[in-house]
Amino acid sequence: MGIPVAHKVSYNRSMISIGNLLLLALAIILFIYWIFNFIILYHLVRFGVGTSPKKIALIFLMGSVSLFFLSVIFFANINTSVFGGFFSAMGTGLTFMPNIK
Amino acid sequence: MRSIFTIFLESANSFEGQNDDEKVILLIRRHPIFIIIKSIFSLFLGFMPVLILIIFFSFFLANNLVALFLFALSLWLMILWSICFYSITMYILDVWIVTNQRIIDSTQRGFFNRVVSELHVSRIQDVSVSTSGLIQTMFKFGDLQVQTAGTEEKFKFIQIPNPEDVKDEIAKLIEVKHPI
Repeated sequence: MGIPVAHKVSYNRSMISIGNLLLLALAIILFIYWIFNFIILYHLVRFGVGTSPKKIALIFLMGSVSLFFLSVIFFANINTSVFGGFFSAMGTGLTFMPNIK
Repeated sequence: MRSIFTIFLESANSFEGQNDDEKVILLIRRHPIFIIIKSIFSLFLGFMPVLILIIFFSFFLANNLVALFLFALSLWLMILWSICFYSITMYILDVWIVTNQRIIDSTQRGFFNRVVSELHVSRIQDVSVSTSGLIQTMFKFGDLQVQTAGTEEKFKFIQIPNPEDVKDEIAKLIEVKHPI
C-alpha cells in the first residue's frame, strides 16, 4: 500500500492571463471613473442654479461616454504579446504559486 | 406638456430653500478667468501625450506599441476630463444669490462639504467694493463686502465680475426695503 495522494492541487493557468489581468484593471478603473462622474453629474444637476450647470452636465456626460467607448475600442486593439518576457512568468509559468501534485 | 429639454433653455434660477414670494435678482459666480486658466492647463496636459506619440511614433511602431499607447492615452484623457469637470463643478457651485429678500452665499468645498449662509437685506448696513492689482483692474473683477451689525462677520463676495454693478443692485434693494 503506497502513500495516498492527499493534495492534488493544480491551477488553471489560462484564468490568470495578461488579457484577463488587464481586463480586471480596466474594469476597476472604469468603475471608479463612472462613480466619480455620477457624483459630478449629480452635483451639477441637483445643486446647480440656472441653466448653465445643466448644459455643462450634458457636455460632460457626452464627453465621458465618448471617451469611455474610445478606451474600450483601444483596449480591444491591444496585442498582449507585446508585453513579452516581462509578464511571461505570470502568463505561463506562475513559478511563485504552489503547484502540488 | 413641457419638454424635458426646457431645463437647458429656461430657468427661474430657483434654488433649494427658496420662499414662494422670493425672486432672484442676481446670480453671481467668481470671474471666469480662474476656470479658463485651469481649463487651458488641462488642455495642455491633454495634448502632451499626443506630442509624445508624434515624436516617438517610429519607436512605438517598431515595437508594436501604438495600440497600447493609444489605450493609455484614452485612459489619461478620461481621467483628465473628469478632473477638469470636477474643477468646473466646484466653480459652478460656488455661488452668491441676491434675491429681493436676502443674500445667500453657497460655497462648495469638495463633493461632500457645502456651506450655505444667508443675510437678510434688512440687516445690511454698508456695502464696499475693492479692486486691487493689475489683473483685477484689467479683467474688471474684485471683492465686495457687505457689512451688517457691528460685531458680526462681514459677508464677502470674492473675485466677482463687475463688483460696482453688484453694489448698485444691492444699494437699490436696500432703498426699496428702507426708503429714505
